[in-house]
Amino acid sequence: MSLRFGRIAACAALAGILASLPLTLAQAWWVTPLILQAETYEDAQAGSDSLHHDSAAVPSETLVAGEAAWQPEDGWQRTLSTAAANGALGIGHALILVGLFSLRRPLGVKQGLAWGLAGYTAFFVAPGLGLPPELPGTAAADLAARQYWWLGTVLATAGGLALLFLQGRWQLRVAAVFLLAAPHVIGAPQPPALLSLAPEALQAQFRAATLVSNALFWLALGAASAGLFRRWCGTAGS
Amino acid sequence: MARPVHYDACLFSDPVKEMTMAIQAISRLAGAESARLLSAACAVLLGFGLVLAVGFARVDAVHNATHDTRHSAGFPCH
Repeated sequence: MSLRFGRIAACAALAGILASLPLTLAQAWWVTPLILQAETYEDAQAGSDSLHHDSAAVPSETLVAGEAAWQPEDGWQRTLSTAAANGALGIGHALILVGLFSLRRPLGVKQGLAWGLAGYTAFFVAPGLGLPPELPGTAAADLAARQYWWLGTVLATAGGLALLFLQGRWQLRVAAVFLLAAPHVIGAPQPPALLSLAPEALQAQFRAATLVSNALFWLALGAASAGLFRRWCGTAGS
Repeated sequence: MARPVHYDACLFSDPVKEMTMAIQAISRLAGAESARLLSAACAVLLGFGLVLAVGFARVDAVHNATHDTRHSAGFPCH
């Protein structure tokens, strides 16, 4: 048990870090500059009505975060923090994938890519249909409500995909379709008014950038996890 | 050409011994199977916990450090 878990953890750690590298690069070149650009609009708004700001409609993060909390400075500190967060996120996702691989061994790297695509769908595409990735300074519904919806959508989509592709009974496949559709029928919590400090063109660019960079990340993660699992955990469990 | 069958070499020549070996084999497999399930469950839960720790971070410093990752990965942020 300990040996097998150790191998799973080692596989996941390496696969997660490897897959987070292209993500960090794509962010540094493409995604983060858009966030920084959006923050200039946010800062301008914070400066213009610093005495009275309507934080319920458009939360200004610089004010919400508070003065006392540490915040990485723009530049290498921010890049390094993001790289570390990406690494942690990558290892987390890889642990889920490799854990599942130990129950259902991938036949090759190609199948790993399919698992990556499933992860991309469950963790990014499905929640993004209701709550698309947003630039700072975009109006949004209550945070807790959105987090519950996000979590529910991820679990329902993952469960739905599993029932659709990992088993053969048609009754359960029908249930899978309902499970996949349910979060979108219920609908994501939306703000009373769609307000955004950043222009629509910037939002569109940001959505495209996150769509591509996350696809890159998940495909790399699926391939790396499957490749490493087959290499290191080859005899375990078979 | 058919050879005579040696009954004492047959698989079930000693039912008690065979049964004991079968039970031992099954329990070994069951032990391996439950260990496999346990380590898989541990990995999946730990992974999900790590994802949530980055995506739903409440502690201010961690929240600020993971800010760009959260926006980029489509987590609800603020």
